[in-house]
Amino acid sequence: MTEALTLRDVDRRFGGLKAVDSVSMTVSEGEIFGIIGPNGAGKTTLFNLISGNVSTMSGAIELYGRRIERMPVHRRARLGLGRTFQTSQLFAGVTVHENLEIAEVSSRRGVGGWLGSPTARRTVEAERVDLEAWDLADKGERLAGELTLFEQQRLALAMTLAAGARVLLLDEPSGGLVESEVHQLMELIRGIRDRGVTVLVIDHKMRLMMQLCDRIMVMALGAVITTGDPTEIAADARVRELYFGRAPVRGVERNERTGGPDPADAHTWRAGPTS
Amino acid sequence: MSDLPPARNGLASGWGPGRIASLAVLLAAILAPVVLGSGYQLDLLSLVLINAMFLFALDLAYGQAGLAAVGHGAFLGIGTYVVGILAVKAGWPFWAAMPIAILVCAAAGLLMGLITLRLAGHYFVIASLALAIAVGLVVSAWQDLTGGALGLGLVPRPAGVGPVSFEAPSAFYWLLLAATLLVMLVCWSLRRSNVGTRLRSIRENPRLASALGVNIVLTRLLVLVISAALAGFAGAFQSTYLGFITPSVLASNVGFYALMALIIGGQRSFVGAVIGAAFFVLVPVLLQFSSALSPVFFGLALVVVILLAPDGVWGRLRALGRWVATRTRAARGGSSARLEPGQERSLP
Ligand SMILES: Nc1ncnc2c1ncn2[C@@H]1O[C@H](COP(=O)(O)OP(=O)(O)OP(=O)(O)O)[C@@H](O)[C@H]1O
Ligand SMILES: [Mg+2]
Repeated sequence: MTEALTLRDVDRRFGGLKAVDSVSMTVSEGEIFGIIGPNGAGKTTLFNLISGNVSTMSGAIELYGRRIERMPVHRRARLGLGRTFQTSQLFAGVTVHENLEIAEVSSRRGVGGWLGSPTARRTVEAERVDLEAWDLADKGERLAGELTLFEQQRLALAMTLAAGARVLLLDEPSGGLVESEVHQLMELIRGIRDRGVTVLVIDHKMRLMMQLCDRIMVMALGAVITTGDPTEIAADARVRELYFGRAPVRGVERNERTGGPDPADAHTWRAGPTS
Repeated sequence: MSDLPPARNGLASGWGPGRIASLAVLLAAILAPVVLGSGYQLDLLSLVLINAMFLFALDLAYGQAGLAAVGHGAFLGIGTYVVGILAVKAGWPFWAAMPIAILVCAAAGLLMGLITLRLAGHYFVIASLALAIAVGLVVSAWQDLTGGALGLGLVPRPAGVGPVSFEAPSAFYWLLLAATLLVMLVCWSLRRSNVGTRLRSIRENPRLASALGVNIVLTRLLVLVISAALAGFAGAFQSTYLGFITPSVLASNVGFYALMALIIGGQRSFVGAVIGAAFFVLVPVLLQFSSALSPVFFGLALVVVILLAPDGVWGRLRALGRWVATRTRAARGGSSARLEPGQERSLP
């Protein structure tokens, strides 16, 4: 199977803090790859290293066999790396339609890609289909900042695909969503995968991760604890220790913002994934 | 409603206050020599046009690309002196010297961008100001070439094209008007192109823009080079307009005042830039009795505008126009009192 994304011994320190400590991993094309771990484990930093928002100190990152760890953010994006952010993930002051237009324009190349017109290639029909697919059909002329959180999430996903993402990094996509929306989100992410896109996802909602992911990597204190399919992860003693015992969690035990692992999800750990 | 394609095309979006005002301004500009004759007032209006070209260029760098180009006057000055030197010292005709002025300014803009655009924003501000000061010093010091403080003259008017001569004030004025419209067309095309879309994404959310693949440095570099070239173009016309050039065209505060004028008039809008240019030219003239008053007036106007009309004078007038339009539509009993969002954006 094709390797979409490979990390070898990737390191990142902040001062004396090893935020990402010699992480190696391989994600295959078309896989949904989950990353879990306590607050401060280094998950977001790992995404930042892959997308280029934070630079590596050593180690190699390959996107479809191509070394990218020295490239600027926009070049990685043009090679097919897409990501969403935990906050301010849209162009809030312009319309939904313009958000999609920007996303699509930003991936165009050559002289036409610069001096051509935004509407030259993107037809009204193509956009209508796109908006319908994301259930945003009647929202085209609304300001993106006025959408509900879930609508914003969907628009952000639509934009990454419009920009040509082949490997997608999703950082806590379920944040702030209600239960029914989390379920729909899961279906949307599966739909994205079915289009051939590889998905890496960080999330604190265990039930979601257990059902959604093909494989899950567990991180703590910047290092990889283990990687396996959801059943293996749920059964792993070290993982259970990390989440339910006195685990070596840096700083506060529970993050105020995310609330840490949801205790309500705890049963999924014992029972394994329910489907 | 959702069956209709959204009105995103500027030409299709109807008659907003911006379009009406633009056409009125254009008509007035064309007829000005007929009404004003060819005296002092037409002279001032010609100067407004030259500065409007410069403010269009400045708006690309500042309003569109977010570059605090406080020393952008350097490019205007370089354009002025390149044409002046070539015309006076080497006897070049305007039409041959003007493209050189554009090239020199574009090259200077490219160099400046390559050095500063990768760095944090304040380096650009410092470099911009440093360029303005350095160019002024070089011109003052290099007396053989520039005439130093004594100045340089006389730069002739552009040679006529076919049967058309540009010697008469009104003919020269119309030439300036055509040049201004050309600069406007370049800026307008750029804003509507993918470059314009990228610039908007950078202004809105730079982190997201680059995550989507926008090369921020390259986009800004391209716009800076075009802006510098257009400022050089305006400078070329300033050269032949003045006829006699002194280092005062390179005063390091020209760019600073121009930036203030642009913000006062209203950035990211052609009408706003024209208002700014008029302000820039006319305030010193109107306050002639005391040259010390003019900076004070600029400063006060800027403070007032920033407090009361963050989008500038034109932004305020446009909002007023929209408000009136909405009220009249509502009074006529129209179903949609709200303007289409597309309408506002596509105004000039
Ligand atoms: N730019 C930075 N400068 C200094 N320290 C940082 C920086 N970014 C992250 N860190 C630190 O690195 C560690 C890992 O942070 P990171 O955000 O990657 O954790 P996380 O696993 O995403 O946590 P959470 O589940 O709370 O989102 C934390 O201790 C954090 O304080
Ligand atoms: Mg995080």
